[in-house]
Amino acid sequence: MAIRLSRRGALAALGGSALAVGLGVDGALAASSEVAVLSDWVQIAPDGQVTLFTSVQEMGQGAWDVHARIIAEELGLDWAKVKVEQAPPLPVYGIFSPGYGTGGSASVREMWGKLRKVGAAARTMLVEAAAERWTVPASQCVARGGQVVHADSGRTLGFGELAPAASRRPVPQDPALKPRGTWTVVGRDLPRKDLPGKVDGTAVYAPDVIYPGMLTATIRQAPQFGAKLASVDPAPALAIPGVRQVLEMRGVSITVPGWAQPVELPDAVIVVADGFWPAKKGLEALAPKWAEGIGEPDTAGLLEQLKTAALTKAEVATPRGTYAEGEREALAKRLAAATDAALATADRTIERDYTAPLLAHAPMEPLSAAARITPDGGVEAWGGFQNTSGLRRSAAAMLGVPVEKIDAHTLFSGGSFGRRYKNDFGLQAIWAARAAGAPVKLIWTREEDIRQDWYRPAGFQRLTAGLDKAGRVSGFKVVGANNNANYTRDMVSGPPHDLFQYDVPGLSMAGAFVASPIPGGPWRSVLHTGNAFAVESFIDELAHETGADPLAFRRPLLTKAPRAMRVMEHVAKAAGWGRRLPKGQGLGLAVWSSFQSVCAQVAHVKVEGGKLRVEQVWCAFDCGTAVNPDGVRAQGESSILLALSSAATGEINLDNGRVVESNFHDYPHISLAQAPRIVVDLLETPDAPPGGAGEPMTPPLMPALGNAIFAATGQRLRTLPLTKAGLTLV
Amino acid sequence: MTIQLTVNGRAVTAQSSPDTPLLWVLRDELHLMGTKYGCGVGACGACTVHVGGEPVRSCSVPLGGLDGARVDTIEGLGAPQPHALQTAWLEAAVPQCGYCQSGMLMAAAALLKRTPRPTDADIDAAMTNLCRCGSYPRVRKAIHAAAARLAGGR
Repeated sequence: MAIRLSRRGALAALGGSALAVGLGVDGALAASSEVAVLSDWVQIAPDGQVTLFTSVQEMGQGAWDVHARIIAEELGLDWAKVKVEQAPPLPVYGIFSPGYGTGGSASVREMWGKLRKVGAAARTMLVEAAAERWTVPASQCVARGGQVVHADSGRTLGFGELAPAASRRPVPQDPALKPRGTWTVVGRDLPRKDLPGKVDGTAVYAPDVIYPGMLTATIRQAPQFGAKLASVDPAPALAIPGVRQVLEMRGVSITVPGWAQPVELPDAVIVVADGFWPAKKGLEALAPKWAEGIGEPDTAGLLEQLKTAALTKAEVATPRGTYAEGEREALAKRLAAATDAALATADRTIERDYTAPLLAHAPMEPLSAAARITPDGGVEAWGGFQNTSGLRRSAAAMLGVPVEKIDAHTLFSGGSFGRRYKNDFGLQAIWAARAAGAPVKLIWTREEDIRQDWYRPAGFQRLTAGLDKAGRVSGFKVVGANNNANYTRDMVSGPPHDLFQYDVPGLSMAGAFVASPIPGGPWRSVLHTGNAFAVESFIDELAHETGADPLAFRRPLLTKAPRAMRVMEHVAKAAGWGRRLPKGQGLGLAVWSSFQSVCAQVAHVKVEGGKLRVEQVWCAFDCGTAVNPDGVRAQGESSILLALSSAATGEINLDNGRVVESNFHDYPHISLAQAPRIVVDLLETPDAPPGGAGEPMTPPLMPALGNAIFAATGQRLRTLPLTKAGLTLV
Repeated sequence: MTIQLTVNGRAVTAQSSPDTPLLWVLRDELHLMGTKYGCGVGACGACTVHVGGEPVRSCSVPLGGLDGARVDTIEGLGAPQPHALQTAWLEAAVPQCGYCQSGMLMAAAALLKRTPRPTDADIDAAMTNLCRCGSYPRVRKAIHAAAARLAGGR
């Protein structure tokens, strides 16, 4: 895709428009004619202060300033002096497509090439401006530490002085990039720009937004998914001092131009008050009547639905691409036939069923957003939105105004793991501000956050493998189903970063999609969470069935995946794979490829009388190039602990289509005392395009844990959480 | 009914109703936004502040019982200069999303006041704040670093 690098674009165009966001209410950037805008990402003040813009929404993945690091590298800047700001929510900043959103572990991998050019173009323009001033060849000038230096004469000019002239120069479309050997920013453990505010209480999250006249609201959505609000008597809430209004949200369905499905918000009651406490008291005083269905799914019922769908309706997946008429179906038939033939002629077949529960995201910041209706009927909204452009478009449609009138500040969020990609909370805040006739800050209670999540879908997978006399895999079949997703299919049909890593003869995967009122959505590493647990546990089972070492068993399957092989060998060595351990202890291995990165982990567990202690987890990770290596290591720690916590106790249960759990007492989270030692080793593949870092270290943990438990006890886990197997994490 | 508090060394008259948890007095009345709401039931510790020098989960402490109390929040921890914990937190790059960290730091500060050179077991017992982002290994490391620095080491 040809990327047109532009000098002006988003930032300069803001002056005077209604959309003055992220730069001050009065459009400070455009108003200050002194600041030179070299591109949508680079602004230089007369004193030489460089401000780099990022569209990354920071949710704890540590990627907020990575775009700035890439640009700063090419510009030859001193990182300590760089200022980073959130870019306005304009489509030019879109990461994987025009839009404005963060997810898919895409912040580096989708923008790497483009941002290097952005930085290099700005550098070229500054160097050329200096060379022109000095009437010397540009080739004799270098950009270093915020200045351009003419080597021969020693003359220097600061970026601040050069920027205006530089900004008037043509933007080079294919500037020379700094060679890797000269890097001083990328690949260094330099401090994150968002951290200082996170240790002194000044970092602003949605619940911290203050605006004159802003009221606080909280919400109860229909507890049974899909139920309607029949009636609510507002009097008990209104009787509480501080409660201002009780709003009834019914039948909100937003048709957004160009979107295949309307955006539907659950029926809800919203209590608007002077502060959160009266709002919450008001909510608890209400007794809304809901028109509910009967016989909606319970936990077991949902699983039954998935099993039935997997075993009766799963369709064999084919790789992405264009097929001639009938060709896709023919290929699917051939794949299925090859698998059946391989299984039929195998020396023996092994078949196992794996299931996965619903998981909650439960970020530390319950969903929240603030909004006001502007005098011209538009919106100014604030929140930790992962999909700000989606919010703008759906809010515009909801209000019947042009999208240009929807202004949205993308704030830091207190965690997300994918939850905040759905804009329900933002739309609710906007809806409430309009209905209340006042700016509203909507803060979901923790209970609402747990009960109205966009859950990691539940799953059922049946895996069947054929083994020949030598114990090699011949024939590998997976049929599976998830609610509101088709995770099994995506291992074959998905984009390159979702594809199954192993090379096995006679492979076929068939998936079924089960539409369910229980909302299912992306949860850190998405399809890979359940798929990796099932596949890597099953591979381990096959190894043990053949008496093979799990490490050795995997080697022939990874001959076409050298990077996966390399991290696997590395982590096995780091963990001392193969060493004898005392009774009740075991090591478990798992390796998984996702988001264009590869990750292998070994877990060391100790099991005694139902108590499970994870002593250590080793992780070897290759994302090609780590822009902020320490940040990537931190994501390893983060992924491993989230996965471990979820494996230990994570399950969301259903009763007649309502979620049972409600807070951290019944959806617990791992404590510091339970955390294992974690070692993350980064391996690089400099010639490969960078891969993701926020999610790909999640999938291997659960199967590594399960495999370690098998090694320690002989007990094989085919579902989670561990509590189902009588194991308590200590 | 008004309640007199000293918040971060400053005398304050709180006017919220006596059943209002201290958390919401701090946030909604005094606009001290550093202390966070994570669960409302005392399970997560995001709301940890010091009352009379002791760590408490402010979501579960009603204003009514606090007349005359001395309250210290994250905003006061780094005044007049950053607490050794805050410096250690940055050096170890502890925060991910950061939302739990105000409470985490206040809990750690209370631990260090009580136990200036905590062992890993002391840290395990005292640091029960929840972090969904997995900052625990770095929290442990930064507490040790801050303790060493305060003791006159490195």
